[in-house]
Amino acid sequence: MNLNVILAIFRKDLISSVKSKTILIVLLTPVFLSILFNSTVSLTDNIVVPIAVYDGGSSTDFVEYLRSTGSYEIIVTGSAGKSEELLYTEKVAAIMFVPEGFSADLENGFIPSLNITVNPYDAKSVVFLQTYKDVIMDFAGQDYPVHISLNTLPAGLQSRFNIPIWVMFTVIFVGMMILPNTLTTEKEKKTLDAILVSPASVKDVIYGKSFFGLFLTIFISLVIIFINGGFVGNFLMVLFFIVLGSTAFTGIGLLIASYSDNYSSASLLSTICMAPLILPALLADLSNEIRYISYLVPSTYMFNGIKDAMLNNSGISDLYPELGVLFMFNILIYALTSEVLKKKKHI
Amino acid sequence: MNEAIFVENLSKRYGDFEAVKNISFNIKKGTIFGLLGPNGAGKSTTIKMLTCQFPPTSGTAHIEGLNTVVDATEIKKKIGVVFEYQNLYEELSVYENLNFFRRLYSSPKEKISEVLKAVGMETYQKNKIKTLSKGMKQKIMIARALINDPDILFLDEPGSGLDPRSAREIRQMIFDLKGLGKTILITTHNMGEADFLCDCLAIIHKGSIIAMDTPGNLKKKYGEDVLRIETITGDIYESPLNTKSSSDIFKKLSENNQVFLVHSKEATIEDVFIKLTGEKLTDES
Repeated sequence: MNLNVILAIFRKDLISSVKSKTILIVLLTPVFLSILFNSTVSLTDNIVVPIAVYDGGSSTDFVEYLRSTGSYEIIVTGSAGKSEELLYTEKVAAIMFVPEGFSADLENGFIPSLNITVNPYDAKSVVFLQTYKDVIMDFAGQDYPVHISLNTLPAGLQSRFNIPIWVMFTVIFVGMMILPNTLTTEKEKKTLDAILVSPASVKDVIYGKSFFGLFLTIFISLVIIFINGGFVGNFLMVLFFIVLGSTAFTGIGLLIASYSDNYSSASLLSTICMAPLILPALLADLSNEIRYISYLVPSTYMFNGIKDAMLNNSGISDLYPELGVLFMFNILIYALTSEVLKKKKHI
Repeated sequence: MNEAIFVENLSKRYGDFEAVKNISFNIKKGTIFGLLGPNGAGKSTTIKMLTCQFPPTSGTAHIEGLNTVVDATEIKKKIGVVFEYQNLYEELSVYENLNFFRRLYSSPKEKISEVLKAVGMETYQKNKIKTLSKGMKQKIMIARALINDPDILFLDEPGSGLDPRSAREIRQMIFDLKGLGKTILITTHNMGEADFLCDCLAIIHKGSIIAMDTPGNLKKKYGEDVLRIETITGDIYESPLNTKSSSDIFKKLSENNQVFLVHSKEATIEDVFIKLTGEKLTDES
């Protein structure tokens, strides 16, 4: 192992990645996505939901009350059919049919019916479903049986819950996308031949590229953590999980690179492998089946480790299972990679 | 030890195909040795084995007394390679390219301007490789091969695909490098280049060396000088020089006052190649 050579390869890759717009865009994608996602979440507070209302008669005060809440953009229609047309053409997120005498029935203590249809594929319908019951109860002059004090976290704190997702995304992305691509580009453009007739060995190239991948992962993860105010919990442990995850996915990236002769086949292979590694970890809570599947992918342990260390301040003793699995995975993947490289006798 | 490169019974086999068959040669220090042959003759495979890019199937090769299989790391410090394809980092500048390779060899920083001066490209340090012409890139490839001040240079088709002017400049550059005491192994299928540059020339055909000597001796041994007579009617007669047939033709034509022009034509390396292989060698430049 020649440290000068490894550092030279690292330095060259760093300059190349800054100069190559494609790599720069790919690298900054997780950062932009985290910023975009956070701004989207904070925007939901101010969303005004367009709804169409057909008043069957004599409930103008109810329609006006809905309008006065400021949460809805009310479009009053002349018929139920017209309201449906607006819903089907995605002009509104929900429609409401108010029966004749609705307001009077409420005033007289009856329980009238209200027919509501929502378009679940319209994101704004979520806001409508969260608010409509409260608005109707308020109009009818009814109170909750208990006093609820509902608070939301300050905007800056909310974003911290997404950090493990973006960090996991970054680690997998850099390890499985950037690293194989830089290696296969060297193969494709035959610059690797020029490196290998110098004192640099195949091992030096692999170490240099892996070091570059590790640096990128840590740097971008730190940027994401900084932007989202995530320097909380057991930060050293968070960093440890990022390093362990990065080496593991770099190993997978090296395997991909050794099986790909060019940039496009490496990209294709990386893309195919990425989805099954990211999704189970993210969707584990949706069903028992997905949870069982998620136990089979290393990203779950990295994701859970980062989450627990950051949000629950968990220490090393709390995270033995996650650390153990990641260690084992690292050993396995590097044993496999070195075996494959030995058999192929080149990168 | 006067030999820079010593090759003995070197072979390379890919499955059933034998790319290089049992070749042997040695190259004296400070000389230019040429491997001449068509595409697929085994020239590049030979260079790849000598530059430790892959091991031979059988046989041995020594560079400055070091075995190419056992002492690969040591050999790589002593050699410079110009590839037949232009493999530079296109997005990086000339300086950044050379600086990267300088670091791989732990050469001093001053070496960059020194090698750029040697190839006449010192004013292009900041230019990106992708903005340079093919000839300029080839000069940078040579500069890169010189970055570790190697004793031995391997040049794989250095003039291939270049315009005549650039090819001439590169040829002169190679000649100047020999003047600096470098040992140079050059592969080419350009006969003019081989004739002009090489102290010793090996003709390689289908993986085997079929002839090896100085270009002059090869021409003497395998080529024939020719008497060429042009008649007043435009007919051309060629016959081996100083033979009975040539004097008979000349006598007959001059008696009839038919001779318009008489001159002798020296044998060329191409004649040698055709005679030895029965095939023509494509000359790109």
